[in-house]
Amino acid sequence: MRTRSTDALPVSSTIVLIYGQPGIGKTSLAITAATPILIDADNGQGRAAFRVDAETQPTWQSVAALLSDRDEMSMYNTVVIDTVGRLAELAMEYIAAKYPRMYNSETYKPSQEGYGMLKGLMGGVLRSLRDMGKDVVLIAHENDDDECREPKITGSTAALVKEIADLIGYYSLVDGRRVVDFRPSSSHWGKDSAGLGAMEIAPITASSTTMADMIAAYKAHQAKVSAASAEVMEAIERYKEAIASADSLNALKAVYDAIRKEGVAVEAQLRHLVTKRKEVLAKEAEVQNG
Amino acid sequence: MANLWLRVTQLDTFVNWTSGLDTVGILDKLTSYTPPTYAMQYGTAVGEMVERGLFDWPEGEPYLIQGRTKVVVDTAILRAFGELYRGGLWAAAAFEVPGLYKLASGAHTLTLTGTADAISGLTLYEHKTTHKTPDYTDSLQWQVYLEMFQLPVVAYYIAEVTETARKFKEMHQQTFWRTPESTANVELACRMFIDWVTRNKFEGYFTTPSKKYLSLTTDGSLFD
Repeated sequence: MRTRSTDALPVSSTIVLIYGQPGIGKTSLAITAATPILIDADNGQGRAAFRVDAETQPTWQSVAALLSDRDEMSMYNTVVIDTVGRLAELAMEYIAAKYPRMYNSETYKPSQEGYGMLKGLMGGVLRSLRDMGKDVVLIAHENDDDECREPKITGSTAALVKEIADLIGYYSLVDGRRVVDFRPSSSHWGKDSAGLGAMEIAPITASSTTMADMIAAYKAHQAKVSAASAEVMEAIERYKEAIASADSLNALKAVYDAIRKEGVAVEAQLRHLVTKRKEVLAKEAEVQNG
Repeated sequence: MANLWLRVTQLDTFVNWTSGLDTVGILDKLTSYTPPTYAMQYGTAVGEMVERGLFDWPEGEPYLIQGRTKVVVDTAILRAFGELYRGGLWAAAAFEVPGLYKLASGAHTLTLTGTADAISGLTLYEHKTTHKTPDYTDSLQWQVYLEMFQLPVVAYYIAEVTETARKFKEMHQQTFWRTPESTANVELACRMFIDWVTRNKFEGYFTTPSKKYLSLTTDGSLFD
């Protein structure tokens, strides 16, 4: 599919990471997404507020087979991976069994090459789900060893998740209330690409749509920004033509005055073109005036 | 009352070193000239080549940074940037876009200056080449740029390379959004700097803007 630079981009799929305190209700919150399937790698379903379709006691191979089965996956809008840290461990077990040279059995750690393969497998799964248009909710426990509470995910996968996730929320108890905080801070990770801020989570029931609403709010925000960006690009294209066709300094000044009214972002993108055109017109005026 | 001028990179330096150095040490960091390292020159070369759209540069052909220093860039890096800039984005973008951000605090006004690598529509783009696993989450740079150009989002295009040979490893894309917190971070950093200058009577070190940015201060008009 070819899109023009001025087209609004469709927002098809969203990747959310929710991590936090044990027992706070991460799984229950995650499965309130639209028609989810739960990859229950951490046996979290039993502790959830209600049940949804799930792949229980998965292996890496069973997860990979399920996620690549387009017919099966067509029944679901959202894939909940509980937990992404445990799924990475399953991937590592698979790598260790299939490629023993990539795993050091004395230190129980993968080699550099093994970490690379792990990142490739995890990245591949997330990207293929995104390509299929599925929303993905990744769940992680928190690592409370450090000053900054980080999700408990193996090194290379943590960096991948941080990069690829559209939203990252830290789920914790604040003054007795359950809160997902999407704002980044020095005490926890966050990614707030839709201005969601800190959201109080009401008690979860089987009819809750909390996660579905969060994802919908993200998509609505992205669509709004994308449409606004397309409008700006259109305005810029219009002004580019007006700059090129301005045949006097006065005409160019009138175009530039109109550009300035559009705001600093538009002005900044066109200033160099106005400057160049001004130089050309000034030279032409000089020649005409002898 | 003084008009203070500072580059965005200097503000980043100031914030990063506030707790690690004494007053003279910080002033030295902000005002002394450090010759560019090979890694910096390499990054500059990649940045310039991307901005000029040289995505199909021949392998092994040296590139002259600003017409002076020769650097041989791994062309896989350029191809990867070209892939990110596909679909007309490169042609539509404005590159090397200068901007200003002003904040008054106490007796002084601080003007921050900076140059965004590229802007297209409502997205600002920054190009980086690094041998470290990149993470720009806490960088003040993008937070200032979003204020400077009143934009909602910045995308970092980051080429990860090997440490010594600077061979291409992988491309990263990190996106950050303007939030009330990022706006507050910028204001706080500026106020901290103004307070520090005032307390130490360092105004004289920060009163000169470059000509490039001075031209932006005439109320934004090129015709005044």
